[in-house]
Amino acid sequence: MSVETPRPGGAPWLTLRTRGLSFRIDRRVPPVLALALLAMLAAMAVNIGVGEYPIPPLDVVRTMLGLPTGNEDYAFIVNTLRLPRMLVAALVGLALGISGAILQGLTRNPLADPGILGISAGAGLVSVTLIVVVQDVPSGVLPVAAFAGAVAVAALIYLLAWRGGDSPIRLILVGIGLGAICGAATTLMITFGDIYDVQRALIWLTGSVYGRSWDEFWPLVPWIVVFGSLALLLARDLNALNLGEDVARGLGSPVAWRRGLLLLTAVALAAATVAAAGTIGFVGLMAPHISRRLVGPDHSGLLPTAGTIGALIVVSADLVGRTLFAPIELPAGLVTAAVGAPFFIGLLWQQRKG
Amino acid sequence: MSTLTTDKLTLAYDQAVIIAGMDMMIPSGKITALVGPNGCGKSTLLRGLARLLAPRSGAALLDGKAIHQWPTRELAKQLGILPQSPVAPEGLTVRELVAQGRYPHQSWFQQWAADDEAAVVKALELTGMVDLAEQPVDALSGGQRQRAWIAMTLAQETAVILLDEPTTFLDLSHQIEVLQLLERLNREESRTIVMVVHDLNHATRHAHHVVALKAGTVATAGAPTEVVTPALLREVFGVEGAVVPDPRSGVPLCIAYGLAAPAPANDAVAPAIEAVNDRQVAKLAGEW
Repeated sequence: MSVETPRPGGAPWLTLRTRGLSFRIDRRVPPVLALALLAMLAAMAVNIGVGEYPIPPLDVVRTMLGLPTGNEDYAFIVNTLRLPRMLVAALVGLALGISGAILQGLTRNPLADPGILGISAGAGLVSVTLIVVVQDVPSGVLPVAAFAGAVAVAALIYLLAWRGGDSPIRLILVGIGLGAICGAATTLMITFGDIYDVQRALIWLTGSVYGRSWDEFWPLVPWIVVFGSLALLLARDLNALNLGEDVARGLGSPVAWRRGLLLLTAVALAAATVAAAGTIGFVGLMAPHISRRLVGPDHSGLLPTAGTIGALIVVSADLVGRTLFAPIELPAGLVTAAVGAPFFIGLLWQQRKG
Repeated sequence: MSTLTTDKLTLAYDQAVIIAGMDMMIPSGKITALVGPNGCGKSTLLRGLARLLAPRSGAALLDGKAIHQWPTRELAKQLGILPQSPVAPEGLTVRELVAQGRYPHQSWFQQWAADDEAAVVKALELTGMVDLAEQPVDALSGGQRQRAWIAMTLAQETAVILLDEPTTFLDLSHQIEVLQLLERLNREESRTIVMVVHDLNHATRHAHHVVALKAGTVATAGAPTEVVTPALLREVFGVEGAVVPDPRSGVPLCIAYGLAAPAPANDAVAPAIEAVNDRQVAKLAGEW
């Protein structure tokens, strides 16, 4: 086995070769990934520490590692009350970052994002309908329902906007339109709903990880594991499709079904986040752009980086939301929107010039 | 050596038949130029040869086997295609683009074998892109960008390379740069090259074999000296002109003087007429 480090003037990537296996990755990926992960863990530790019952970050880490801290309440507060919320935030960010990176690569559109394309709104509509109509929905069913709604919107976008060419602005307009329709229908559902269910739906719709427990965390895990791995397996195909359909086909990629599989992956990841935390917007837009700046456009490095940056964004947004106007809590989705909307407008501006 | 032929190939977009029952052969190891007026179907034919467009009936064949029956990855090891004016993702470096050419040779477990590395380095050297390898493709000049894409197709290591108007949107020196590169690849690497070209004089100077298309059929095919005549200019392109030997190389040189009297409004020279023709193409092609 040999791990080559790049020579001056040589390839800008790290190569790993052993019998029967060979991989390469941009040399910027490992340090960026490590730093982003550290930053995310630090934001988590600080976030777990703040609240009505503050805990020093060092004690948070000690508690999570099972080391003695001298305060027996810490274990309950950290592990039962606050940790699951943080893990949900991290997984939601991870899924949104990967989902956005796939959508942007697949549509060759820098403005694509599950929120902007209305995919999250579709997931939200079906979930709210379920909460209002069926009432006691088991938490394992919610992701499946959200997935169905997200797939429906994705299919509509494909039929209405994508098949007739890949104009970036048309895709976005159709997505925003479908998102608005789903939003209106969701409001309608809420109007007719029972007051208790409506309250539950509303808290959840704002896009927040407030009060999330292990009950929300565990149903999320299989979705992230399955579709996150699938995304990584398909990174090479995403690279090929990112060069355009004709080039990808000429390179021998089975375009139709690889594209379908990638789209399904992006939709499933987005739907899982909606089921767990409602619609947290713009993370899928921002994380891939930031990551592309850091590690370049090769998806085998971009996907994990976008996921980690996405997790960092959501965890930080939750931290900001909790501390900015404490004791009042802003939902994380509000914070990401406050940052993400100007980001989106900036990208639109760039598009217009280009 | 791979041979590319068509057998009663019919290509169509929705209702509009573009290529009707064509029988044609691409000579191996040579440079073939597909020429003809706008809307004659030359780009469509190239897409059909590259399996980017499925035949309505008949087939394009590689080594006697219909290309639509080849496993797509296996075909991609034999036949490379460079579409017209491809766009690279923002920030993608030349080296990364060229590395994509290795896609059909890789699997999930073998993503970057020593062969892949060698093929990329060789493609960069052949196209003179070594010094620009770490530059983003979108920061290059038109000619350099086209060379980068050709390098990607070279890294694919196919016997046959198809190119759709490789010189469009390039200024004169860059056009020559690209055409000379293709000549060298053909000569030194014995790759079979099939290109759609707009300028008839590029075809006569750089191709061994010219296929002239008119309204979806082969009007004539053969060596430039044999087929490029005033009659071809009149009947295929609808222009009145002269064909004289090039003072240096002796290949036919076309000079257009004006439109042929009763001919259809098809012309490869006058831009105003091209615009009209482009609309006709769009109409023909429907809403695909």
